[in-house]
Order: sequence, then structure tokens, then C-alpha cells
Amino acid sequence: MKELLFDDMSKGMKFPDIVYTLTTETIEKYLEAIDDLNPLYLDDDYADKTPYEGVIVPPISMGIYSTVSSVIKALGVKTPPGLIHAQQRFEFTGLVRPDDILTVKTIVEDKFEKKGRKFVVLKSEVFNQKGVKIGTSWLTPIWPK
Amino acid sequence: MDRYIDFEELSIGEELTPLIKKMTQEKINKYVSTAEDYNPIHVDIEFAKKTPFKGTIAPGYQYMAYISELMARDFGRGWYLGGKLELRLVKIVRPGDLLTTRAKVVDKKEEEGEKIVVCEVRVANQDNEDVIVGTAEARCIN
Repeated sequence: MKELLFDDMSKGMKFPDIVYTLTTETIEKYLEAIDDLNPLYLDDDYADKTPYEGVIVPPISMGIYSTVSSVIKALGVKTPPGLIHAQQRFEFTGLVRPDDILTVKTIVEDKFEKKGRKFVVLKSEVFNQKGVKIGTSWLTPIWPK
Repeated sequence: MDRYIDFEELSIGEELTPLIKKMTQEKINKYVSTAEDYNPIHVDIEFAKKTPFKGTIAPGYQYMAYISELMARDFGRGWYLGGKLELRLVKIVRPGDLLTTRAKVVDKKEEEGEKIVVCEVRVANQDNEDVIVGTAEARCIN
């Protein structure tokens, strides 16, 4: 797979949408991995009686499917080796449920060089199958070349 | 049932109850098996030994989740719907690291009728070195 270089990206550039289904199987493994066994995420009987009216998924699970490499892969290219994650920002705006079909829309919000390092700001907005925006992430990797 | 933080009772400088968790290779393997972001540095022990890290490291997103867990515990819906998080990863995490996640209230404000709490958040290892630093903001709506 060809590498995507810093110069290949421009401000405002759009990546192809990613569509991802968050299955119960993935969520269960994810919750064990992050060691968060909140019944609101796992127990239907418990969650049904809460104001959430059913099981939800932790919003930071965006990290499963909305990553720098998954976004780049949608273009049919990969990141050069040595990418460093400098900063990340998130806003959570909608409840995520098991089996939601999520669409990730990503643009290059900014790119700049500072102290000889190449920074790219990738803004990803995530929408569920009803068109509700469940969250936004801004990932700022340092691009190796 | 769930008891969330009360805006009026919270004071600036207050520490929320920390979360303590141990990172293990088993948890890393499980995390990587779910994520759309395979990198041998997390799971291939022989490969990782030959890198400058000299061993496997945990994916940043895996322990960023601890901060989200702490905020969800104390703010509930005000985190799920309106949470904001800004983080920098400052040090690597290895299997066996014991991680403490902390949040300290640094601001309380009312904006457009919303009660908002701003926390300074950090995850530190057993040597009290920060591995993540940042800020988290939640609404008080419960």
C-alpha cells in the first residue's frame, strides 16, 4: 500500500466516509480491555430501568473505529511508519447503542509545521444510522514525512 | 440508583475519586483485537523488543478510556451528552504499569443556562509520572 505523505494533504481535504457497525461482541471485548464493567453497558435488565432506557456504549469507543490509520486506509493508502499522536480532542453529543451503524466523516481541518515537525489535524464527525451526530474527534498526529 | 456530582456542592480544587487500574498484555491483546488500528508494537513481543521501546506498549486510546470512565461515573448524562475532552499522551504505558486516573475541578461556570464543570485530568503510572495530561469538561444535568 502506498504511503500518504504530508505534502499529499491539503487543508479542507475530505476522506471517504467509513461505515462501521459496533457489534455486541466487539463491545464486550472492548469493555474487558478497558476494564469498565458498568452494568449500563452490559446488563439489559439494569439499563432498561435507567433514564437511558437500554444499554449504551461508552462514547470514547470512537477509538475503536475512528483512528488515523482507519481514516487513511479509506483512501487506499497508509501512514508512513513513525507517526506520533501529539494531541486528541473529543466532543460527545449523542448516545451510542450496540449495533449502531456509524458513519465517520473526516476532513483535514488544518496542517502546519512547527519547530520542524509536521502536524495534521484530522476532524472526524461520527453520525449514527438516524443521522444524529454522536461525537466529533480532532486527532493531531505528527506526520513522519 | 446512580448518584452524580452536585454542581453546587463541588468546589474548585476538589479532587474526584481516582480510578486505579493495572495494564496487562492480556488487556492490550483484547483491545487490539477490537480496534481497526493494528500495530505490532502493541502485541508482538519479539518485534517490540527490537524497537527503541524494548517491549510492547499499550495503545493510547485504551487508557484514555479511563478518563472517560471517571467522568461518566461522576457526571453521567452530562458526560455522554456534552462531554469534552482534550488530551496529550506524554509517556508510554507498558504491561504491568499501575495507572491512577485523577480529575481535579479547576473551573465551574454557567453558559447559556448550562452548568459546566471543567477538570484538569491526568493518568499517572506507579512512579507518579504522567502518561496523559489534559482537560475534561462535563455538564451537570442529573
